[in-house]
Amino acid sequence: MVKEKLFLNDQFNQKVEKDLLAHLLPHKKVGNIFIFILLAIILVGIYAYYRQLRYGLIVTSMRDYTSWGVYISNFVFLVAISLVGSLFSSILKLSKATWSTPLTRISEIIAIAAIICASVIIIVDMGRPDRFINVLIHGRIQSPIIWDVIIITTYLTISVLLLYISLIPDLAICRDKLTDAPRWKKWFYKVFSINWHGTPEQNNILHKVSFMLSVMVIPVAFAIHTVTSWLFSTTWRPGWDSTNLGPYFVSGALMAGAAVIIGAMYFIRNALNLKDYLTDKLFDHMGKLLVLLSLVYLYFNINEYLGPAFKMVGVEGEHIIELFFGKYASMYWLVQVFGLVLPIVVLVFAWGRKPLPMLIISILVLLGAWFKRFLIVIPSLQHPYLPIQDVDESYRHYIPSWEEWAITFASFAGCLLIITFLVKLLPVIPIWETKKEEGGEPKQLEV
Amino acid sequence: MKSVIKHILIISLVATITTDNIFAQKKKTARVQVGYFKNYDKAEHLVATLIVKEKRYVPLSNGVIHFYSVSDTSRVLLSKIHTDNDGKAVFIINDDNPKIIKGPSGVFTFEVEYEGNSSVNAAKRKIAIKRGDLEVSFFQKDSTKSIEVSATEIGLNDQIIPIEGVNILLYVQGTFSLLNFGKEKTDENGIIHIDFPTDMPGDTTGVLTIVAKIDDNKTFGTIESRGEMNWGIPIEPVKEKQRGLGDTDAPLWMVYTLIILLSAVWFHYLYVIFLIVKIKLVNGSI
Repeated sequence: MVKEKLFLNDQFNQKVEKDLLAHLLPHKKVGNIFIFILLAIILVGIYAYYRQLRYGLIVTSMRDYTSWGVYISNFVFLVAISLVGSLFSSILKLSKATWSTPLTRISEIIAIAAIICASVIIIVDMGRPDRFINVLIHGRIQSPIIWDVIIITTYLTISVLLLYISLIPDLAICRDKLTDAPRWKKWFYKVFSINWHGTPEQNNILHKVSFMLSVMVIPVAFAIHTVTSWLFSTTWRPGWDSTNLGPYFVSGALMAGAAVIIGAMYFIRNALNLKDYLTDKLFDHMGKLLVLLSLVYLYFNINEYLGPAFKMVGVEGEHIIELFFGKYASMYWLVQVFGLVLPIVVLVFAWGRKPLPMLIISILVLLGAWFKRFLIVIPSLQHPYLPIQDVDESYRHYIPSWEEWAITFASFAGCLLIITFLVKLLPVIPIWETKKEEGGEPKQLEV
Repeated sequence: MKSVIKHILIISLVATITTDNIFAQKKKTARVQVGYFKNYDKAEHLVATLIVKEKRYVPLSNGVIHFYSVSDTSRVLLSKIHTDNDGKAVFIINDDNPKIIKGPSGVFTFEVEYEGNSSVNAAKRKIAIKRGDLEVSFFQKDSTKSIEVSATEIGLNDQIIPIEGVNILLYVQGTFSLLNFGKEKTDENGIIHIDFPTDMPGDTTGVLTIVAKIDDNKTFGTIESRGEMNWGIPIEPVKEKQRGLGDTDAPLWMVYTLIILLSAVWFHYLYVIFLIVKIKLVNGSI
């Protein structure tokens, strides 16, 4: 009986390794056209940035009043996306939601890619990026911008550590199994698997580190998006003067993070043929999670707008009217209906939690999340407390220039390129943890 | 019938009083004050101040003040100047203005006049002044520092005559006002001597601006002269190093909070790296 179980375990482990290492084999040329398209988008973005460096920020549509444009909206969006790492590596892990195990690696990879691109986009927003070093040397710690610089660095570091710690046993498997891999990859696996052999002592240390980081990432992740919200709430503009802004941003970020995971699951499952691991049941779980997160975000949304809309005081009132009935009304209501209410309505039904409807919903949520950040940043800036007088007409409106769009799309492409590179380099589903959790009971695996 | 007549009488009385108020409004009383000033840069001017009586006297802006030079036989218009928000109109006296008439004994007589309008009465005022001057000289012998001020007037034939018996006030220029440190009457040579206090604080190099003044004198008006000497005690400006959200240095609670939080987090990062190294170093063979 014991022998039979061991045999089954062995068979299961071999299948897991075979399936999850398949996309790392040298003959697999997954996604080369996709990479080419991403590189093309990035090149256009680099050309746009070259023009911005050469001619200055005048090539953008940002002016004295709308001094934060799509760059900052995009920055907030990317920071939001990066929170997904903490959701899966920490919150779900610590709450023993074992169903989320196959998603931890994907979430950590997305978190790192997003936070790197968020950092880059902030530098792109600077008129004189060569002076960025002065922010570090002469920065005043009273400034929320400095808090943001500190917390982004802190979060990026913990994200890299989280990804790496969970990778060590898998890198050892790659080292041992991928003997046909190119030389540089073999070198990479060997160096970074740090002599891992899964001894009890190594296991103990790994568990200790993993637990410590899982706990620590929660406050750091909450801090990164709360500090981002403080960039707004400490600035004197209508729509930003809110004590609700921190939790509003964090809840929105977790919702957007869940949506991005659903999209990534869909494409990785099909591109890498991982239907046995990224199962329909997993989509179902993610659907339910997204409903929960959307409801929380809806709650903070109501809080955010009900108070000012009830009072309609001065410029705050003008800002609300512009959002509800003015030039941003169509964008505002599309975002609220398709990016927030519709996902809740669709995903409460079981048919809505199938992979394809989930993909469509996740795209709607992500579009809604991006435009929501646009709505948070731009209309507020167009309502300063001092009246806009004696300025060119272009100062009163903001329609991003092609350079801004090109750089924004390049940042998305850059994010996807980092994800693609890491997916091609690393096991995208944790092999070690899958074997550990499922090994004793191979029947749980949907084959 | 009686009642109707009574009503008619009351209405007539009220109408009479009201009509009287409307058509016979009293004009406001106006006053013009005038003073002569000679600044330390030798610029001379007349300042006329126009005030009208409301509940109390208040400045009247945009009133036209006529400045005249007068003698026993003539009255020459020098200028018409509108008053500012403080009710003041300033006429600058140029030496080469041929319209200014010099009277006997070197006295200049000016008249300022406000002609009034439909609601304000006219007003005028004369001022007779002699044009004087002050010269400030500084002397130092050992540790004794003294100031000599000589007051002179210009006679009928432009000869310089000492002014005797006029009060001269001495001040040090402070940040916001003049600080008085002496007052003396001129002798028969028109001169005063005052010892300068040795404990007066100066600027960073000890320099003080010393002002001598004949203040609002009936004959000479207000004459001022000044000079600079490094007789003060050099005082370093007080540099208060403040900490606050709006200052260069952050509040200490913020510095400590940030250091504690970041140290806690980054210490754990270093500890994680230490443990990673430990994983590598423990015996990896099973």
